Amino acid sequence: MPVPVLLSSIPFSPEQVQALQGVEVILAPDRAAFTAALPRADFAVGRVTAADLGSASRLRWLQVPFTGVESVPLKDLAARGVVVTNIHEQADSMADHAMMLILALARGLLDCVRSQGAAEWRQPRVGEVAGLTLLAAGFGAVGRATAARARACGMSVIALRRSEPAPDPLADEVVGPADLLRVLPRVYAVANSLPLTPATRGMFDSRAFAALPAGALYVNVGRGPTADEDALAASLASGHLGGAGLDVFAVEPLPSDHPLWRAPRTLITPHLGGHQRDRGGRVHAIVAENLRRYTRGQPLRNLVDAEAGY
Amino acid sequence: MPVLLCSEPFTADQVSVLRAAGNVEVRMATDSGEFLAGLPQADLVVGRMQKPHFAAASRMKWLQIPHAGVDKFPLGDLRSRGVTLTNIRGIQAPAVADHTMMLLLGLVRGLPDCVRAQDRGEWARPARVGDLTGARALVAGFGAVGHAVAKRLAAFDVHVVAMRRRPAPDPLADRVIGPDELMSVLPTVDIVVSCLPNTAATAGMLGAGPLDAMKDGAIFLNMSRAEIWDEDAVVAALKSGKLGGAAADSFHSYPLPAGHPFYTAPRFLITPHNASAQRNRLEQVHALVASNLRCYLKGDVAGMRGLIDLEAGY
Repeated sequence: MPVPVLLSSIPFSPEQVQALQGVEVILAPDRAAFTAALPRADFAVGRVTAADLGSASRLRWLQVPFTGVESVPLKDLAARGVVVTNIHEQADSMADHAMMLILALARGLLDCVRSQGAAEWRQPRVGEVAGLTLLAAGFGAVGRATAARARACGMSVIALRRSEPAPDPLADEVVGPADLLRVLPRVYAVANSLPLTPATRGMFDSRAFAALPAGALYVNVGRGPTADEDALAASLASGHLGGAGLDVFAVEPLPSDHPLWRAPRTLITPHLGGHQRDRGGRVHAIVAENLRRYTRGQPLRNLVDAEAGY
Repeated sequence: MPVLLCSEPFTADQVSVLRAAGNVEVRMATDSGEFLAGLPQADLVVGRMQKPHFAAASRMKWLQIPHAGVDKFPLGDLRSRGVTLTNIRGIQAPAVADHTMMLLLGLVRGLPDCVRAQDRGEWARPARVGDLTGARALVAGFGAVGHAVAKRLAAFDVHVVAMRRRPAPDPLADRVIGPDELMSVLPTVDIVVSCLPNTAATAGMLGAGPLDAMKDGAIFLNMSRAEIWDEDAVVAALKSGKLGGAAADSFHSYPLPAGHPFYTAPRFLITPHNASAQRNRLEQVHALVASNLRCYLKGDVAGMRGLIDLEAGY
């Protein structure tokens, strides 16, 4: 029986390749090489789009090396019997990023960096987050890791999740999407880590921003289109929102004429949430684990639900 | 009846709470002149003290200061006069710890570069973006602030070694060491946070020698006084690449003078001595003062919060 082929867009080291036993590993240095080798691949670590479906004829398992899978044709792959898994190992760095944005906005770091650059001494008005409430919008791996960090800073946590709200040790309260407008008036900071699905698109609209108390913070490390960016920019310009920390946008890179570039009290980071030390090593660990499980016929970790879309 | 002289701008309701604390006459000083003039009659004092104030406060038995640092105080003199001294370190700890985490995350994830790119309208990723998971940190100084920092670090999956004068096991640290182990631990950690008080024993404790012992690429945050480290050595270590990043909130003089190398040192973040800035500060100070006043009037000095050891100097 021929040895199955594992195609990877992640540049694993020779030692990491050797640790993937029972497969022939092909490393694709770029997108073109990945597409060219895809017809030979039984397993793939990378992004497979609708355009690639025709050449993915042997594919049985796709390991997406990141979290958001809205660009992956999940239902077509499911119909062909391809199992899709993604990566939640970026949850820690995304939660670090979300807390960094919240603390930086709460403690005026934007002003400090600008003052330092101008060699000026100005003290912004700042505070601690203890005793305030975080809304973890999306309570998957990222939302939960963010909640753990926020709690260590003394915050209360309201978790918003799609599935049946059930008590959770990391949240003081768990609510569903229908409760959003009801809980927002109690929220100091929103940490949005929602996946992009038809149900979450545009969830943070002008009504949602208006329902937050004046001075509240909005942070997004999930997907840009879960918020109405025009409504967000308008709320910042009006002085209602106290600040925004944005790592994701409806269009990336953020177009140079986009109003969010010039929105007041806004921190923009260029989709860095998943960036972490030794990413290759962390992706390798989950690939190796899932390969072992696949070979033994065990259920894979981080299975993506094609119906739900995440 | 003992006289309490207070220069904090408490509201009328807040003053009533103090008056109701027990057998005490509360006098409010609305400006520095009134404060100085009232000190000779005061048994208990709530306010900011400088040299002339200490000379005038001849009856003072308890001093509550509305800030943390006591390193400029005549501690020996206060000790011989039997003065009880309390500060507000407990209520400042969450703010200082939040500030520490903000600076640490900002340095690890390239936030200053992001702000500068944003100001140019450029979508440009910083050269290096890391995360905290699995890192090792030394928290030097393990009082209220050190504990609050350690608690946050643990939630970010950072391994914490804490250093204190009298080491004892603590649930918030993986290990607690004494100053004698400092040099052997420094090469093993990725992050060094100083939460040390400034005393005769700690001045220069994280100076050029200890800096040299740190791991290449380490991040060094000074949440203490400027006396704890060596500013020139820190700037040199940032320029040479020895330090991966550093941050400070405290300096030898305020405002930091124009032209100071800290303004332009690479991978360095300065904040304008606002690490302890908090929301509702007056309410929090008032609650502490009221609680400490009740303890003092009952004779329960040990129950007071922020009690300074006048011999140790913190």
